Amino acid sequence: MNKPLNRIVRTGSGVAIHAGDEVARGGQAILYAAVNSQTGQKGFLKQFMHSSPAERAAITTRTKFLVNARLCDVSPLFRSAPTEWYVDGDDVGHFAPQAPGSSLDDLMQGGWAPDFLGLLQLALALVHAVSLLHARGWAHGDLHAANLYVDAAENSVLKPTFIDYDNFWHASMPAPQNSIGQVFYLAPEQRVALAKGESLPPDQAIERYMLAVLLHTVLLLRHPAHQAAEEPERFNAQMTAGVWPDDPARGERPVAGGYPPSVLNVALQGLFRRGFSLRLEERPTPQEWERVLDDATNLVFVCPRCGGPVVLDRSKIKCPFAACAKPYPALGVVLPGGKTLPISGGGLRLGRDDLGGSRTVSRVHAVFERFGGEFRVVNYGANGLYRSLAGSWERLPDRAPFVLQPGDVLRFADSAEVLLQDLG
Amino acid sequence: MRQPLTPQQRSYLNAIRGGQDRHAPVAQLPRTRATWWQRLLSTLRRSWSLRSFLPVFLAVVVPLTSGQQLESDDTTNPGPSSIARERVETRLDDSSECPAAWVADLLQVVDETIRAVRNSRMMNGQVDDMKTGQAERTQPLDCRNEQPVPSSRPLGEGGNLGVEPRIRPPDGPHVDWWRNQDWAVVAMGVTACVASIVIILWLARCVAAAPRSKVEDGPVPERNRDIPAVSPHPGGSRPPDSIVPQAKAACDSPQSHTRQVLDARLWKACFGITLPCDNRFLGWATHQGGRDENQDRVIAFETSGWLCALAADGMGGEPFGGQSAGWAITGSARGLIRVLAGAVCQKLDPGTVAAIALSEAQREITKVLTRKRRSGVSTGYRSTLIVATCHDDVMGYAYLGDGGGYILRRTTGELQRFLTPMKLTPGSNVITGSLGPTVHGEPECGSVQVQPGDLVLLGTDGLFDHVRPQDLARGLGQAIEEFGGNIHRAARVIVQELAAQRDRDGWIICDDNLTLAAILVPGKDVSAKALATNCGMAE
Repeated sequence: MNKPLNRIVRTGSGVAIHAGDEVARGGQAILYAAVNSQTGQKGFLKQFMHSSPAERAAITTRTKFLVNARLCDVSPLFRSAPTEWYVDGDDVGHFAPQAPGSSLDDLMQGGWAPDFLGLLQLALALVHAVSLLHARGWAHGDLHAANLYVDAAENSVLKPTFIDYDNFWHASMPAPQNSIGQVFYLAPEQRVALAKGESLPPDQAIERYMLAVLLHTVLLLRHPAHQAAEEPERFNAQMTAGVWPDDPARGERPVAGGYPPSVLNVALQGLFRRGFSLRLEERPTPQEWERVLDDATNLVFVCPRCGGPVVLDRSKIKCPFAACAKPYPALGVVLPGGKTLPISGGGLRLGRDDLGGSRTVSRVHAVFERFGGEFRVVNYGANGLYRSLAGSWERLPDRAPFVLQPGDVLRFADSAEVLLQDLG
Repeated sequence: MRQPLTPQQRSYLNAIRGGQDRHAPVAQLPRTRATWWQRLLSTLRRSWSLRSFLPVFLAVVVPLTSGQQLESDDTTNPGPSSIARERVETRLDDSSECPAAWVADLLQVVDETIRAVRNSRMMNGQVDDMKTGQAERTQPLDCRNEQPVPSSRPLGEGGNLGVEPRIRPPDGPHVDWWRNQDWAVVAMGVTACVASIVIILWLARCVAAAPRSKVEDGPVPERNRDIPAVSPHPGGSRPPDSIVPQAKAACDSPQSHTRQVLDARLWKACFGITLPCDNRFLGWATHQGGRDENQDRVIAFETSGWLCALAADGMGGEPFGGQSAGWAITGSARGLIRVLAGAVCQKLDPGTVAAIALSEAQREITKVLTRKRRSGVSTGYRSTLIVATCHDDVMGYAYLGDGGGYILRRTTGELQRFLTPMKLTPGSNVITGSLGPTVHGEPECGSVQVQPGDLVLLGTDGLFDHVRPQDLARGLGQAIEEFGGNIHRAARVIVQELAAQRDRDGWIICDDNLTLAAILVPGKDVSAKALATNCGMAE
């Protein structure tokens, strides 16, 4: 039975915080449910443990710095950052508002299965949060699935909130005491230091590794070394190898749970490859992640057979899900003479010589190409390329890709018409 | 099949990222309010007339008045006019200077130029004596201290009369004073004073006009939720997957748009034009809708008591459509202003005026392409154009291309169409008339009787292909009532709402650029300009 604190704590800014029952207790602090009596905001009062006056002074300095930074005003992604600090005799602590939703860890253990696009949106939001911190010279210092709260209450939007900023890193502050992060998310250099009996506090470079691990957990719904989670030595070996354990470039391996790594496009795979690197400068920054994830949200393609999602690139010609694993349907161009030409990734050029020699058709009038499971056409003809649309002809944009569907009828200038046919 | 983010997911991401979507146009980013002197410097930077006036004055007027060629052929030793021009241009390019220092330096440059002119004349020693036909040779001056340089020849030798080199007050009769060469200096001084007064007055008017233009930059106001929004009709075509980005959050900045179309401040100052921000009989709005770029151009203005509205749609399938639409609007607007400047002296037919504006637009496109040495191009640079001019109880129109044009009789609710889209078949994207390097199709023009209170609506196909005109007219009429008769605001709200409309699957319905211009026909007994200046626009 956790004992209640049941007292009013007066914070540095004069706000009264009513602390109630003890919620959790760890090696660093005790957490109490609390209410800000001024605003009525529910949250948690964290009371730090310390063993010496020097440690207490360091904790006090860091806590005041964290609260005074007002991270909660920077973005809603930091709405659970501490808003009040207090020093009461020997007690040092802070009040942080409650985060909405549940932790990612709890959600995943409860069989949470959002759609892939939702996971991309969640990843993009959390990467943006880390990007904001790094741009301000901060590092969260304790990124892991239990510190990431996800509010999935509002239709399809997944709203992340980070909690527990006590392990933060800032160049002007002393390093956090006795805490280097969560064991599943430690960077290789931290593991090596730990093996030597040393402690390497997190910084931005280490956090870039943690971010890669967290993004792997979010996007593919499993830890990168999940297969070795029960064997600490093997787990440590995998996490210190400097390579992405699930890298599809190293051969396809069966995966248990979550999405296969080949649903990611080459840009995302490249970032994961770099994210697990031993060389600090190779690890992608949050800004790089944000840019690639932003592009990926516009490239999600759903397999027409099984509905499995994939982030498109040119290599995606078959469904990556083992249950389907079939090539995506092919598309062919049926010429006026009845000849059918399949559209390949290398491109299919059609012009005057292929379409009867009309002068209005340019020598290279249109180029068809395959982009993963999609088929596109780019018009280079001087007199336009038209698509049949509800009884009339719609002119397609010049020199810009246009996505084709089976059954589309295209007209080259004012003469030749071709049909797009599904080749199965 | 592609699967996009839901609108809720997209809006959430935009919200947490501070609305700074990297695909968003720069115009949406917050701006800081400029101080008066920043606006003044900005006006100076943008102004071509001041930039060209002083160098021209120094390079052309000075040699003409002095009757001498001040430019040196020797490139290593440029003439005083060149040096002065370079200094002035350097000053004009440097915007970081304090205006007071800039003006002081400018005056110093002019002063030095005057001295250099005098000195140059004396160094050449060429002074025509009108009376005797003999040439006097004067003693050259040292430029810095204006002391006579000792002559190598003795005084009085070979026709050298040893004339005092400094400027003398006229001591003879009036005609002798003019024979003295100092008249050039006086003429230059007078010209400089007049020019300075004109420039100062013009700058003062521009600066005074700037805060009023700020009205246009304000956010699009919220509508009363009780009034139903205008809805696109359900038959709107669903856009193809690959070319539909997300709708942008706000309308294009009307002020920047106007600046693109027409250098409004300069024209306002010269011709007394009023724009919709100052005139409650005019309104326009444009939005890029679901497209990456807004290739529509629009403007509405009042000049000489005529209400004019122009809308152009750059042809999206062709390259440089947006540019040509801008040239079409600029050319036709300037043509209208020129023609209507003489309308106070003669009776003009609105239909004819609109047709002239259309031909001016074609002329402008041809002129710009010729200047760009691309007059031989056969593709691209194509745009549609709709012109509407309204005076008394007649509305004139001219158009080439598609779009929409209607007159709403607000007293009866009757809707009259005056524009038939020039399309190959109804609903197709192929249009049969457009402006460009060469004209395609036959322009249509004419005039229609209107009554006070009628609402003239015109817009591009992105609007009228997706919205039933009766719905648009009804919605706009309600919005005008809601915003206290401010048509401009009402138009902006309507276009903003339409651009945000999506179907059940989250796709943008109005996937093309949206543009609307509106004219409210004023009563015969009411001067549009007089009302506009004193109407106290309802904010």
